[in-house]
Amino acid sequence: MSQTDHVAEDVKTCLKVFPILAFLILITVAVHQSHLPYKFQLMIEIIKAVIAVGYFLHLMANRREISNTWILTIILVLALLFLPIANGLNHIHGTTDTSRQVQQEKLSEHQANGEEENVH
Amino acid sequence: MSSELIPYTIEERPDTGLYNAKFGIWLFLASEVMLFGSLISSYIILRTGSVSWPVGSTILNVPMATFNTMILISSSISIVFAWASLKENNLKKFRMFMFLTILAGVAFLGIKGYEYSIKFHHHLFPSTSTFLGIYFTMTGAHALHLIGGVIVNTYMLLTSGTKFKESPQRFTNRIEVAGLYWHFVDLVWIFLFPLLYLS
Amino acid sequence: MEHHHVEHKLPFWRKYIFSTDHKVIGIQYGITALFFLLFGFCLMMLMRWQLAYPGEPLPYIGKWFGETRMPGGIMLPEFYNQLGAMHGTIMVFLGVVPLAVGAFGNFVVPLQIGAPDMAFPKLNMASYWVYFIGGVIMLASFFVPGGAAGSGWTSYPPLADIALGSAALTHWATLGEYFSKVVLSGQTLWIIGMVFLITSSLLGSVNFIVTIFQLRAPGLTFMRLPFFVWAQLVTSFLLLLAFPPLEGAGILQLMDRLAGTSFFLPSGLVVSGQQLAVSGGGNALLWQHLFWFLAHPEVYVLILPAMGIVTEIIANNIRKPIWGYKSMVYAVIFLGFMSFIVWAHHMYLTNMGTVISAFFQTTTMIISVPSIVILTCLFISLWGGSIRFNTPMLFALAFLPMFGIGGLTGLPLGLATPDIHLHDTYYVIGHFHYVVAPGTIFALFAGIYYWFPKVTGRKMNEVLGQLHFWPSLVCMNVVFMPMFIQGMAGVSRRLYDGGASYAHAEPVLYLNNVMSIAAWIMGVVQIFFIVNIIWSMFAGKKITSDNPWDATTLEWDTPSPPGHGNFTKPIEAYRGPYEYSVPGAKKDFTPQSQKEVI
Repeated sequence: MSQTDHVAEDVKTCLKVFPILAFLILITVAVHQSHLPYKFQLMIEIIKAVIAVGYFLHLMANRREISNTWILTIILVLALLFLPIANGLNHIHGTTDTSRQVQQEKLSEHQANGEEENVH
Repeated sequence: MSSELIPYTIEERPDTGLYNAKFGIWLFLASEVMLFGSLISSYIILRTGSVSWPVGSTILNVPMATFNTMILISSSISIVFAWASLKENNLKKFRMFMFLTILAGVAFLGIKGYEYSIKFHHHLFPSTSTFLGIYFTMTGAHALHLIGGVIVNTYMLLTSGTKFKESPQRFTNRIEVAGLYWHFVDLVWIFLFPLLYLS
Repeated sequence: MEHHHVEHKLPFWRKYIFSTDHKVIGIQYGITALFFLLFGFCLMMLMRWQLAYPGEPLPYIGKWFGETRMPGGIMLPEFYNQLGAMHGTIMVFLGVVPLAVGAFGNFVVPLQIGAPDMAFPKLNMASYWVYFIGGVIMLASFFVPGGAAGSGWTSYPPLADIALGSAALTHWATLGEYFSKVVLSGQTLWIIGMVFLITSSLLGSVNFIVTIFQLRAPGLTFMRLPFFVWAQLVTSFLLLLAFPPLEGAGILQLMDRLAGTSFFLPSGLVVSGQQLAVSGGGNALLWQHLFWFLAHPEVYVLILPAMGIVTEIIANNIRKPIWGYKSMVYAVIFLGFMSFIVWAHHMYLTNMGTVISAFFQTTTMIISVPSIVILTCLFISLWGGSIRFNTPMLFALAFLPMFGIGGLTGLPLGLATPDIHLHDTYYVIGHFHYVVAPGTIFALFAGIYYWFPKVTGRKMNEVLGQLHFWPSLVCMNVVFMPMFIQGMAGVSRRLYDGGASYAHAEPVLYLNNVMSIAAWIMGVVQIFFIVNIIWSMFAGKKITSDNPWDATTLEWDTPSPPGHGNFTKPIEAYRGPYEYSVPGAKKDFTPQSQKEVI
């Protein structure tokens, strides 16, 4: 009957997705250990992310409410990740550097350049 | 108790196509995405704002964590088999697969604990550097979630006899819901691992 | 099966203490929250002594607080800070939200959607008890050495990170010492308490959303839901998705305090003349971003249930439908969504940069539109209505202009440039208190007067209700209006002497005395409410019908109070929620559950 088919379907999908993810992880580790350029690692991460998100979307297929909640969540996570970008999009230079070392370097740089300070 | 009065605990509501617990767990997982998302966001801010940041593999044990990742992935597969066994009305098979799932979870935690103890032995504490701080915090939060999952799964396993007999479909639904949570914990680790160890 | 018999034989502790019935849980939330509101109010009344008479001993009561807090009855600045931080925390997280969502939401929502209970009754019970534990922890923090948290309800680092009991600055030799000095410090307990409160909210929000989607009675489509239910639905989504980042931030700050990490501590920080022995590299702004990511949606959590309550009461007391129901629904959904992308308007003065400030300023201006839509619809609804001026309606009507003032005064704060002048001044305090105090709390009072008959089967006393309302309304304005004046004059917030040590504050200092006296009078006036509620519970006038207000929504189709399972017969909705004065109907209201217009 369709119920048992549906269960068999779910099991088959799971048996496809997770071994693929496992395999990709091993590839990632191998790429990392062989010191290949980082972009290869990043590409594999993106593939993994697509598979993971796809699997979750498959699990919740046809359920409008869940899909909507998750789409909303993804938008919000992107908003949350906006925080780091916001920190970096600083119009005023140098104020994201919180480490003292960098501040001191900047200070000595300014002093070396003489009193060139303008009020910006 | 009042649970007999509440509709859609077992059967699906026609217009949403969901039973209550399934909807509930998806909502909960959405909030968990926000939680781990905020920790990842913090990681990004701290890392981009830092002067120097170690490559994870120079401090952390990649082979051990890779092995751990494989254990966790297998446990995700075994919990799906556990759920499928219940659908086939095979309680014995369910128990075996659920036991394997719990075992894998405990093994993961054991290895993680061992990893932590090695770090402490080498005087590497959360307070030693921002990298270690965020490493311990993120893996610690993940471990706490895993412990929660292990506790729930153990409870399900121990009560499976009586609960499956009482209401097989309700119990199967509970395992489906537990399985979703477990998948999520697994997937968080699948992304946490390369982020912390390999970048 | 025969389980129904078992329910009636529940022992006392399972019927009233560890109950899974949403009505009992709602009442538990209500009583606990009202206690915390009173407690937070008392904290404020204490603070207002110091503001009106800085440095003077508080007669009689002063010595109760001991030498560590008020030596000789004179308040120490540290104690003032604790009172301020805990007043905010307790009012917001232990008072208003549990009352608005935990109490009203839990009690009314299942009834209004025709459900027998919430979707997850045991989870509901867990939510309450986790909240209770969080509250106990917050109260306990007053009694540990060093007192309660004193870094504001916002708990900003570096101060919150290094406040007394921080691992980086405390010496301990044994685990016992670590526990008593580091763990049992006010600021640390604040974070732990917050973790409990956040967990309680998360569990509750899942429950509400599933309940509203899944347990609606037949015929109750989304566009037939009472606006109160819509408001609770959006509120629950805000709680679900906005609280986790604060939980994350709490974990990080807890690590800073307990494990000596420096997530929020920049390198090179010097404390008390000594460089702090931490690894550094942290970012104090990170906390602010994470905190406000929650705290901005949190303020909508504070106001949305109130708007819901006010809508119900206004609809009922104008005897005509709400004007613009659909617009209100779309507005509240849009409001909920927008509330997630305005947070950094609390951070204009943190040197974020003009690009980011411009983005948040724009979204903040946009978000004022849906609030105006909702308020306007409610105002327009009044036109041509047959208005009944009972106590709940008085509070609901007062909400409208009070929230209006609160909202309008938010505009110069939402624009980055005037905010430069007004940020962290008393203007801000005036603004947000107007929305929460004569705003939300008035709406909550309205709700108590309105639904009291449903909960107890008795009505509250009208005379006491009027004695509660009118002086409260006057006092609220006398307390909070001068704050705008003080703020514009430049008086900063969180000053323990109310600005007395600043020359520019001198011309407006006298207002401190005015505000304090008004606050104390307001405190006395609440006695009418407390007496009313307790007396009416036992000896109030019994209602003769289950629907004493002649209302249309489904909760009035149950007995007052409703029994277990709520509805005595199967319930179905045939019409919208506010069908008052339907043409051709004999009565001036047609209940939602009534099939034909008669």
